[in-house]
Amino acid sequence: MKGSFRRDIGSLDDLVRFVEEFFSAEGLSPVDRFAVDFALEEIFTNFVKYNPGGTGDIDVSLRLSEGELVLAVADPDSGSFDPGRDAPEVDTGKPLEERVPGGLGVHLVRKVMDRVEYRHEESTSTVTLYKRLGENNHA
Amino acid sequence: MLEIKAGENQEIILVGRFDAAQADYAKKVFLALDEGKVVDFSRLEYISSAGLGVLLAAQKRLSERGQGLRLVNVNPHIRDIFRFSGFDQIFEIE
Repeated sequence: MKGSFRRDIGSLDDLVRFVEEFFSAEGLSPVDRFAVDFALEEIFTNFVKYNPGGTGDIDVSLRLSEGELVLAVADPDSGSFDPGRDAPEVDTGKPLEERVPGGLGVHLVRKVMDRVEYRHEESTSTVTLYKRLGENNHA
Repeated sequence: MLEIKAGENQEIILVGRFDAAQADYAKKVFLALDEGKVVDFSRLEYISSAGLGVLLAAQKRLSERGQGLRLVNVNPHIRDIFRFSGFDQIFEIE
């Protein structure tokens, strides 16, 4: 299933409906929805935030492959931003006074999904995320 | 969509989805708090890192006054997100 979404935080409700439709069409357990919604929002908003000069829609696709859900988010008008390489390390053990809001998104995406891959080709950045379904009790 | 309501016992009740599109609205409420509060998560389905950022900013501000937010009825998905963030160490969660 594929969709294109306006490069705007206001698209998040449409993204939720997109994932909902896919889960419903494929008869998937809603228990995995949280992680997919979460990963999609974080990657989508990163493209919106860190590529302010980008124009055009952001493409999202969802498919199943050998028991894994595969989510791809592609920005067809972007420089290279590899969340694995470019996102700063997060020290989640710091006390409250040393914590600052922000920077957690990619760290958490790696926790809730099984694998994250990044590709940059011909001005398109694509983040592909994999999750084995039905194995995670929570997020 | 996120709704932020006041409960009968002065607690804050969150309803719906606390995502990046709701962060500005939530900031107005949470950063205006001048005392610690119980925050009821029982009707909150979802939170993203943008929502965590709002709660962290409020917690930091309140802690300077020796106060804080106490989060109750947190669903297992959201509880995991707090744990993965290390926020289970900086919020009281029931």
